Amino acid sequence: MTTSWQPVTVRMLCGLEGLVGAHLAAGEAGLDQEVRSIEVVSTLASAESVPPGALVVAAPGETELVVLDMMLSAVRAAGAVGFVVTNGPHLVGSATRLAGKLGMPLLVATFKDPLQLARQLDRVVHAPELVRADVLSQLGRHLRRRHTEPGPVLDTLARMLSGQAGLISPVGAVLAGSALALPEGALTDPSPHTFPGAADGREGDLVLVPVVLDAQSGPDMWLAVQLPPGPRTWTTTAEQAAVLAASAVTGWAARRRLEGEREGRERSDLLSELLKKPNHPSRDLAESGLKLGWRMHGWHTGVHLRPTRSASNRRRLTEVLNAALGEQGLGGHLVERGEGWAFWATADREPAHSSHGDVVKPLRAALNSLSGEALLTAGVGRPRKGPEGLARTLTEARQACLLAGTGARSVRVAHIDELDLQQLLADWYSLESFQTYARQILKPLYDRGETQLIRTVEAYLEHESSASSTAARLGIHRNTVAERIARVESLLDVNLALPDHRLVVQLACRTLRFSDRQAS
Amino acid sequence: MWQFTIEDVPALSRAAMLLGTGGGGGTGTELVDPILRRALREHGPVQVVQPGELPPESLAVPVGFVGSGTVMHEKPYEGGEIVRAVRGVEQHTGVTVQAVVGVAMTGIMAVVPVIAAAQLGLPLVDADGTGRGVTKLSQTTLTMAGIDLTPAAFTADKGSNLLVDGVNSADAESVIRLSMPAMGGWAGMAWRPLSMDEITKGMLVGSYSRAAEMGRLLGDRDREGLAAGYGARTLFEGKVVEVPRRHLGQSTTGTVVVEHSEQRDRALRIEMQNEYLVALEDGRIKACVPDLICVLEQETGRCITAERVRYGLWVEVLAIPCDPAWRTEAGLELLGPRSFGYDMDYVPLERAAA
Repeated sequence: MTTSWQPVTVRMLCGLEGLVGAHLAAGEAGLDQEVRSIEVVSTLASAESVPPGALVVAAPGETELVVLDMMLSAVRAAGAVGFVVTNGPHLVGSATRLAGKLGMPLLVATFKDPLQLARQLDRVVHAPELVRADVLSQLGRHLRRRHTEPGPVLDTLARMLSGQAGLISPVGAVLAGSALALPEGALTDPSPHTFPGAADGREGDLVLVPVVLDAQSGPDMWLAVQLPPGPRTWTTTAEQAAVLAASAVTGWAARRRLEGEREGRERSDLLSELLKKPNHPSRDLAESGLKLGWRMHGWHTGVHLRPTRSASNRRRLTEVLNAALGEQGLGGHLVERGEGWAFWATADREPAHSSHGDVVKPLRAALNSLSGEALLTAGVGRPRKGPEGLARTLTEARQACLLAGTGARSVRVAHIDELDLQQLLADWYSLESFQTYARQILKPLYDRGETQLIRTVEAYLEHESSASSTAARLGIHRNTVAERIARVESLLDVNLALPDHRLVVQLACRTLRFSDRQAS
Repeated sequence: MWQFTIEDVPALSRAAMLLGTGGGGGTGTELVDPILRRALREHGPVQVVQPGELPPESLAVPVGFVGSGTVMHEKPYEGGEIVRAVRGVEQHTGVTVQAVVGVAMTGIMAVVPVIAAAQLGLPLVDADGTGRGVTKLSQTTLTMAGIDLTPAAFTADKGSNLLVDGVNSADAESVIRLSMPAMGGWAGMAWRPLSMDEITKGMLVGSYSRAAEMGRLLGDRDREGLAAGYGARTLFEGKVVEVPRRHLGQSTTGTVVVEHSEQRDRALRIEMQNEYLVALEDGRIKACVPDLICVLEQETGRCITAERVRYGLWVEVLAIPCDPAWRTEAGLELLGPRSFGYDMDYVPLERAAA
């Protein structure tokens, strides 16, 4: 591999093939420029269109070479790195002076057939491309032979390119291979791209190739290759090799996702079966659970999680959530349920009542660590025994989770035990949707400015529908109470003798008082 | 109408060399100037007239010389060649000419019509067919206008007369060039007499007046006058450091490299084929044909021909815009850079790199 590091320069070509004995007329400063191709020109038009990095061989001719100076400046403007010309009257001081000024080597050689000279030099210049073909075919063989994991792919790539290779997450975290320093905003452009190496020559180019499973959601990972300083041809080799390796990594990632999705589906199917008949799990069900590492017997503590907003990329969220829980020692069998996820911890003995901090604390830490990615809430159930206990604790967890995310409360993780009745009600009152509903129910009274009627009906319901108690509480006559209640019933079109009606109106009154209090 | 006298000879001579852009007979007009002076002394001044100043039916005979100016050095102008050629054309066509007209305002070619006019005692029509140096007789505005110049008569010093008829001007030129060795290297020539209408349509009118004025300005070293009147621009001043030459057919082809007198890393490259045709600096066109490129000796202000330019001369390179007729498509086809084999498009002097 070491030969490939040598860029082919004008200086190297000077002593080779048809340029043996060539004389450098001017432009010594440019001798170490890299030659990327050999071009033969005979007209000014062909001189203007040589590719950058070309060493130009001028076809000898009577009329063409009299404009040698124009050709020199044209090929240099196009990015040529050298000019080979035969000796003759066209080669005058103005041409050598110009080549010197342009820093472009002007080689005077003896040749009859410019095409033959170009062919000879071309073979030398394209040697790196032969090396490239070799690298790519070797890499292809390696990738076909084995490597289902990215690690060995990265190792092979790094070894063949004499550089460092790493697999990087879209936020820049190293997933496998070497840790590489990325420039600011390096992963903004979602297409393969290359950063030129530092000017001081300590480091070479940095090649970045995205690993994309779903074209719509952008790169899932990045394959990064840090090259040592070297010629441009080698960077091209690295870019092509990295694309090849990235496709192998893409295959691996796709396989992994497919397995993950299949397993996830199996889990949620199995869990719904279990929860459907928790008392009598069938033998099949129990065996399938065991296969997934689920212990039916023992004490389960259920956890339910859900996003506060519906997630745009659920698959990705599942992955990062799993990873975050794993970091807190809560990893395991995350099961997708409805809009959220469930999992549980199983212990041989009944956990002590005081031990629910053991779940809540790491859970909170895991959710906090994800706050950059998504806002999640979680609920935790009580420890419950056996398969039927699993269903109960998960139901409790789900309830706790629902409450954890509602209203004015900012609790991210709620334990079912922490939720008393008052709290439950307070949570209800603070629900925006319920407040709207309450206002709707009491609207006829509000619209008329009947605050007195609202106060009366509220007191009446708080005092178990007793007109005398209400009258005593409000300091008014009993008949007045009865008359006001009748008006309320007529205005709201309800019958407070019916328990359902009573409940709705009472809840509405309380909710509005709660929101008034909140507002003040 | 004005009179061309002996006092006008130096100005015409200088202008003929300037407009010759390095050509015009190799050694310059020094060989014919004494003959012109003698003719003016013997026959009196020449009337220089505008085409409209003569009766419309008048005929003017275009005269000049063809061949090598270098040979003329060895075998000088005998004096009667042009008159004999004019008589030959008159005899062949059966007409009598009332005036003489120039063919090309370059070197000896510019002077010969004045000599002929003096010797014939005829007025000189103030016109020519090039306004600058050319390599071929077909490179004229007459060719552009589709005006043929045959029949033509050619005469050499030993009395040989050659009459060419039945072919067009370009073929007549081929015939006479092939006959040159037999005729002794050069010949005087007279073409088919032209009507005033043909001259107005097919030639550059005012050439001799213009040349006399330019010659005076050049003699006075009045660069500002030349710039104001004729758009002349100094391209470069410096020392000739290289003059590689090669011979391509009839012409002296080569390159002149001038190193700048103050900025030593600057060099001007001039390509020549008998005339100076292209001037480049750093691969960029500074001036090219059909615009005029002239090389003047710095100390004397004299024009230096392409044949005489040599290493070590301190020179000033001057460029002058050509007549607009040459900048047309037809003009560039005859006298553009590509007509000389250069792989480049014409860049007008005014737009070329300063």
